[in-house]
Amino acid sequence: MADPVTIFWLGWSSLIAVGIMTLVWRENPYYRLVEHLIIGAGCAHMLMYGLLAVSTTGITPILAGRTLLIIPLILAILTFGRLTPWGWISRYPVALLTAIGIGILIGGALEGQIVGQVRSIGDAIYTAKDPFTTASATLAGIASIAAIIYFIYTKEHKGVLGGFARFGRIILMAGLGISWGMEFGWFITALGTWTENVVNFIRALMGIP
Amino acid sequence: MANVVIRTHIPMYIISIISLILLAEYFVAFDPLAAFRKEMLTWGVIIYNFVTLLGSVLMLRFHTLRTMKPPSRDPKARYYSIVAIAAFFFYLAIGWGTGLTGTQYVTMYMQTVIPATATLWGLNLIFSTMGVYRAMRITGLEGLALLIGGLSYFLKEMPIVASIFPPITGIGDWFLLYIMTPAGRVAVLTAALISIVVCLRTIIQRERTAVV
Amino acid sequence: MTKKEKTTWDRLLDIPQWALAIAAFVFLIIPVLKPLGLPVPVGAPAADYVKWIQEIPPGSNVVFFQEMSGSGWDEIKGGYTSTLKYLWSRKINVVIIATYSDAGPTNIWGINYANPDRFGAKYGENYVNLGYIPGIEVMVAAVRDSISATVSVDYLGTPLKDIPLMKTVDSYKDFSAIIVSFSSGTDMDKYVRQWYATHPEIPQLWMTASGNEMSAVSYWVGGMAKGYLSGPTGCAAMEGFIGEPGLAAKITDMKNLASIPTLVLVVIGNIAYFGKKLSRRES
Repeated sequence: MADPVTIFWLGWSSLIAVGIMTLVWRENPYYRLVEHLIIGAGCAHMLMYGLLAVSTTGITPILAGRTLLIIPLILAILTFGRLTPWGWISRYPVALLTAIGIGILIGGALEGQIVGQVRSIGDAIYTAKDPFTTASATLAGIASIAAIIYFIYTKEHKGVLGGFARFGRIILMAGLGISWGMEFGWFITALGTWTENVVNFIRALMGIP
Repeated sequence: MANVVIRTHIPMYIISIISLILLAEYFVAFDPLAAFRKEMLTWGVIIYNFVTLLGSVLMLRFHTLRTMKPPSRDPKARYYSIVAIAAFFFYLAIGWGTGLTGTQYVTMYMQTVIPATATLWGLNLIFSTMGVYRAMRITGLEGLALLIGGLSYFLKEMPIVASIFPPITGIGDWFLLYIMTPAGRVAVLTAALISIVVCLRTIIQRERTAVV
Repeated sequence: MTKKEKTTWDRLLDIPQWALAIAAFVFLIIPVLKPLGLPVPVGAPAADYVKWIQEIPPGSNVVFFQEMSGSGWDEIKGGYTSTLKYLWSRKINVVIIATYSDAGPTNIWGINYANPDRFGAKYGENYVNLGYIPGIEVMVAAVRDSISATVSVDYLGTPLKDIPLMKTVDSYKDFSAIIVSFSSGTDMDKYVRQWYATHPEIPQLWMTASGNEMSAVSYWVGGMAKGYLSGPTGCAAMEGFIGEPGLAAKITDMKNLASIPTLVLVVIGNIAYFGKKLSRRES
């Protein structure tokens, strides 16, 4: 028989999991209790890790001599201005954060996401080693262009453009089906793991190995 | 007038100037720009932290107010908020008492938060199946594409199907490489283009959502 | 007004949710009670991941950004632990960073499960856990430029200057590869923007929940990621490669049977749809 601590945690996690599973029936007090328990736990977790991070990224370097970091620390404290009647002071740290986000995003997005993705259309065709792969890569290239054409809303989808847009829509629908299949696997893992946990707890209680 | 300048214009100019300098650093190899970028990134990490702390504080405030004055349509909400606040303080006590890296806290977190979030997500198995049962019908070419795309990946992931019909892995990979990739590519391209457009509009101050 | 009588087709088109829920739970429980233990198919992205991880030279350094927690942890925990085991067995040094606060405990759990002592991996010399560093994309960009400028201590509070590994590792120049386990469908974008865009020569290896594969696949085809493990099927491939099937292999068993109610429902839905259409045409 497993030790009491293991059984306790097995039981505790099973209680939590079953509480959430009751949502399939409908929202009920058991589910709400578990939901609020998790809200409190998650909130505390975020707060503690956040405060620890303030210490490791802000306070410790300042005490070690990086006095310039006092400026972002003061700006960061202004974020709590949202809780006061002078909520506008929180715009300053948010503005700085937005500026940094924009500054580091544009270049990388251009190179990695736009140029890189467009280049990969040609690369796939160019590096194909046999006729079947070349044909498949060409199909993928045409499908990519067709899917992009589907999102052109400034011109009516008629004639050749309409045909490409329809093909693009079919590709997007197939992609949607595949992405559903992907998500479905995730759901099985998530629900299956904790259903197994509940079964194992029942087995532990009954003394079945 | 001074109010508008301090509350709106100055933050917008901060965004424009700093983002332009950081953007210039990406394209121009110049040591002072690189040093400026390095310093700004450290500042960003510190400021970001407080934004997440604010989230926790707002959540705590919401539940505290709900305990004191529950909504009239749901008077029992007060009791659930008490549970949330009690759990909050309990986790705080264990986390700070035994240490965030200690076995006690890690076990508590792994056996409470993970089962709840995973199970909640996993219930989509049932809800999404009900949706797919209604949506995946061969009503036309698009419906057929949806069904074939879904089944190609679905069956590939089942070891039992792969052991009965081994080519399913190759077929599933083909769909992944030559059908899913164009769809994913378009998603990435459009998301990147939209991000760049919104960023540029923010720099030229046409987009003011950052300071609202 | 007379109530319209439900035909068989109408009933088949309106199967209640509770029936599906019962079927789903029954088919999830069966493999728990009687495991099938079938071999797991290895897809092309997972095969590439395994191929590229072998290219990392022994004695080099790798940075591991771990984002996953909550609902996706069960999907990748097998890949996370087996990757760590492999890296330690090859004397490859690992710097582990939690990108979200949720990943802090899962990192610790995963490291303990992988058991570094078994491989002679010493904390501070062969691996370091820097814990949670806030900032998401800003942090990823900052770490690329300089870890010491971003954070001053590890997850235990030890100053980085007192950790032997961190004296030799600070920025992208010191890493042979980056490994990421990302948590949502758009999270991989930041690694492409901040690491690949400026340093495409540093190979990226990813792992993620299967639902996020839709975005990862286009990056893998484009070469931004050299390979990725998707969900427990992909992670089981890594477990199989190191010869220790465990966390992920167990979960893939569930996929065998749990998918059956959905397949059956989709088939019934289509049969009923066409049946009703035909019967309407006849009447």
